Amino acid sequence: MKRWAIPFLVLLLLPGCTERPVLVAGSSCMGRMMAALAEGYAERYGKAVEVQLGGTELGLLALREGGCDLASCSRDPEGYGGIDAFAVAVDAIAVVVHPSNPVASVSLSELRGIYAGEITDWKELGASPAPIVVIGREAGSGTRLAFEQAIGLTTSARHAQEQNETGLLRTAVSLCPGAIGYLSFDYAGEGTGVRSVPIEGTLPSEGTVRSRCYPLTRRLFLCTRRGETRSETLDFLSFCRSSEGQALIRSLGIIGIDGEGSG
Amino acid sequence: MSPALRRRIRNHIFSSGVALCGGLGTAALGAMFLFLLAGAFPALRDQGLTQMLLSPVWEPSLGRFGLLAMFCATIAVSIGAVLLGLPVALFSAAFAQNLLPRWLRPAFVGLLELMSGLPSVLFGLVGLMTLLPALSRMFPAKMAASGGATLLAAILVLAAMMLPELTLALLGDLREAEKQVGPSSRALGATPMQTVFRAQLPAAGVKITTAGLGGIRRAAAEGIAVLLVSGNVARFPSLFSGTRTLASGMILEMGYASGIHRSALFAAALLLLFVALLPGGSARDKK
Repeated sequence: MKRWAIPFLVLLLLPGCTERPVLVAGSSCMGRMMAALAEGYAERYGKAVEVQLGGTELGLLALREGGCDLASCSRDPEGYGGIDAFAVAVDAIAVVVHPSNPVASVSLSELRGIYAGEITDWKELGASPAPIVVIGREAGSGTRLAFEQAIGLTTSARHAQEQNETGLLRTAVSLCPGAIGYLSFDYAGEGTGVRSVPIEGTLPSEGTVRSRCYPLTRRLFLCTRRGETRSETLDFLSFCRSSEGQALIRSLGIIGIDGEGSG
Repeated sequence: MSPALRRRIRNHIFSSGVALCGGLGTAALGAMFLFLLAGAFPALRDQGLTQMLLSPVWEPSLGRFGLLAMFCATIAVSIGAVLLGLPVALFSAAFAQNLLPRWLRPAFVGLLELMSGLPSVLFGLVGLMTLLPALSRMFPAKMAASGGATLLAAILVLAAMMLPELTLALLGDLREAEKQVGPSSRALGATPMQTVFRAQLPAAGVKITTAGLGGIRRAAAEGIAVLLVSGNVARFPSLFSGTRTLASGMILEMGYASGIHRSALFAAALLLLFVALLPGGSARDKK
């Protein structure tokens, strides 16, 4: 065998010698948080965690079929068989519009009307007349499920556009003056290109979520297969729920599981 | 062993190897087709072939998996893109062939080759961030409800995407045609423009059609770019409203679909395969 082939073979065999990193897949809304947690975990304990997006439903399906170790789930996965769900954060779903849109507040019933396709013009909400461009998430999105549940939408949502990732939805709303959309409140705010609209007069923040004033709240979960025993997976999971992990979450502006914010 | 025998054995091994590769290629294609068919079978049995092909209602939460809307969107987007892109590519190629100074041609061709290598997601993102707002400004009334994410946007983006490859292919065809008819045309006193339109283009005729059909095939299968600019609403296509093609529909839902839903997506893939294969079968080289 030629001498130069040996390092090549070593490189080929190397991946097999190291441990398979913990793979987290699922919600795009939780992407920012999971990336920060993975980085924090790697810095602290030196073990690699990979984070993939793809949507809540994809994460749950991959978990069930063995394609990942943890599924990040932005809706309550009750009723989904064969998994254990652990809450890691509390999230507020912000309803966002273009920064130039002056609408002062939207009620839950108006949101229902907009997403059911019954309210079609901004003038019905007190802003200047313009058609409402309804932007939503794809059918497999945990955020979409959580949002539609929270506003009480029972019919099929009528969207003008469907985007399959939180970042894309934000970009679409930021480019369209008449648009309305929904995403995790830590994706909205100063400098993000979209504006959070008060719901029933309340803006999402740690305070309003804790006091339950803001109506569109949900918990964010990490799920394992039922009876998971792999220690690397369970270690990372407990890191996320530990005070270290929760402090990291709070430093991102996200609310931890005991409902305490950074304020 | 005599040299002649050795040579015969070597030839035999080589030709068997080549045959094996060819066979593997064909077998892979056949396997892919069978895999799609097997995956689509549950949905076809549950919904019925005619029901799936003729119903425009795609509503997974209600168990309705009609492919008609997405199929029509695929056809509309690919034919629209080619109708827009082919003439532009043709005239670009004619320009490069006849009017561009000779020394500039390598730079032009090099630029086209660079552009044809650009990933489609790039076209989609640029379309999302610049084309959609521009369309909303150009057609404020028509684009108001959709924010620009329409069939028209998808057609424009796909036409832009296929332009470099199509131009390169047509440039090659025109160069061939020029060799065949160019000198005789000019000897008969035709001006450069007359040579282009009366001699070169007719001579390249069939190849232009082939290039166009290839463009249709490519546009039909494009998923990511369409996903980003066309709004992804599963309804019957119309120029100024959002739409979803077979390809973008698969990208949108395949990740999390299970059961009949996933099977219906396999059926969509099968339909797309037929759409892609159809043009190829009908193009024949006339001599």
